[in-house]
Amino acid sequence: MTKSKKKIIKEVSCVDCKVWACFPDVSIAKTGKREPPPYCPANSQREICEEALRKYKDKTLEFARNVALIENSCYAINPETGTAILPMITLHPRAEEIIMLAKISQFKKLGLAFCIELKREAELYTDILEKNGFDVVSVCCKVGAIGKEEMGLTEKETIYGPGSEETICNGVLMAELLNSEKTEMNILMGICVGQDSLFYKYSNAFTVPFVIIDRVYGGATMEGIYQCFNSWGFRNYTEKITNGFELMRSSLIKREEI
Amino acid sequence: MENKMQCSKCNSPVCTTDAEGKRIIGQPPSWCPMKTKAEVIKKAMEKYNEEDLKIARISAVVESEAYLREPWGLKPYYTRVLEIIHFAKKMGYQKIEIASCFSCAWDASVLVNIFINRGFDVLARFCKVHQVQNTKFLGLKDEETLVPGGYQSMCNPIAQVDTLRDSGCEFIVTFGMCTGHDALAGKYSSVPITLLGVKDRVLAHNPIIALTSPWNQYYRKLTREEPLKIVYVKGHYRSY
Repeated sequence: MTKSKKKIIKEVSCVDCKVWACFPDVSIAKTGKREPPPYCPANSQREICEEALRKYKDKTLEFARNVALIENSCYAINPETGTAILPMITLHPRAEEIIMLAKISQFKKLGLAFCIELKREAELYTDILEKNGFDVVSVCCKVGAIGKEEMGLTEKETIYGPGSEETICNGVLMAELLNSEKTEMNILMGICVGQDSLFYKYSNAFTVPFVIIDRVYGGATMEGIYQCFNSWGFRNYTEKITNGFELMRSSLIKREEI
Repeated sequence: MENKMQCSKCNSPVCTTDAEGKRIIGQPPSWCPMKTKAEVIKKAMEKYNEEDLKIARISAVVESEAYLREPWGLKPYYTRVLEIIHFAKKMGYQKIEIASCFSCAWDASVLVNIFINRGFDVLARFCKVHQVQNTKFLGLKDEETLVPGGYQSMCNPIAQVDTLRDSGCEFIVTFGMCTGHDALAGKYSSVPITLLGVKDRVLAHNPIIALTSPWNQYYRKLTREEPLKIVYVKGHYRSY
């Protein structure tokens, strides 16, 4: 009994946590550090956390510092007290944040990897980045023009079916081409699932995603979660339930008591 | 300028296909990487190992399944959430991990439910793992935090990714992470990592609006003639 309980304790998701000791809520931040619960990774996986802290070195530490600066800069501050205004007022969209981050980190050369469907937006963003004084190289997802059949896909598995001459998206190639240009930071625009994992695996520079492709919601990937309770969206949620009310109820049921 | 690789300014994309699946015929520009960097391409293609090939293949299969074939053309059917679910199923992943931001707690809990309903083992980690203080570890000044004199723990994407790997994950889904934190998470994760949702505080997590809707004020701000002015005011950066 105790053993199985211990196993459960290690596996508590942060969404199920009732304490949220790490939450930096502005209204209670002045009360100081709160004790994490026993199932918190800060307790149950303490060694790994401390090992991870040692990975923040030189470039990474500097980058992490700049990222934290940008993160804190995105909220409006009350000039009298110096604290954030509540409820929080947000200031900068991601397109600006990326430019600010690159400017503060003093990067000169940026790489842009984009999906061919987003070519117009990529062109516009390249212009914006160049106007802000960066040296930009960009590469599209079909680069190399390697046919899908060369990678071992059958004709039925292509988009246009038999007789099409489609080329495959190529995350490894994009990463290697940008590495060969020695970019200091890469920006992703609309790279498909799977290809982005390959890109992350092979890229040397820091890779900041800008846009994520979503074929249905036009880039607003979060809509897949916000709209999963309505008739068009609940196919995201499950294949079995076809009733919206039932779906709502099932999501409210507690999965597991801590 | 002549030899700078800029696919975003290419007018004859010979590497891709048109709306009927036929290759586009034309003359590629002089800086086309297929001309100038053939060696890099050849070396990169040799780097594919078996797992990478599987990922690339299944990614292409999911992409082709993402459309319904209508008489008028292709109708997009899979959302990104569905794409990730089908990709993970085809890859045979049992345990999916969600590396999420704290401010997306509600969204992440719905996402956890979605994955559980689809038969995966799910674990979610928020970004403030380990409660390391911003001012002590990263060396931020007191005025650069949101609550001067308070306890603000830093976002710790490396610990997030490492603890997830330690609890036996096979596939990490980042969800609503800030600019740059996903870069750190992606760089230091040793398991495949994919993106579902980026954080955009202003445009409701849909960052492309800043490039697509000309009536948006942020579009006007970004596309005007003079560059952004970035100022450091009382510990915080502002862009005007």
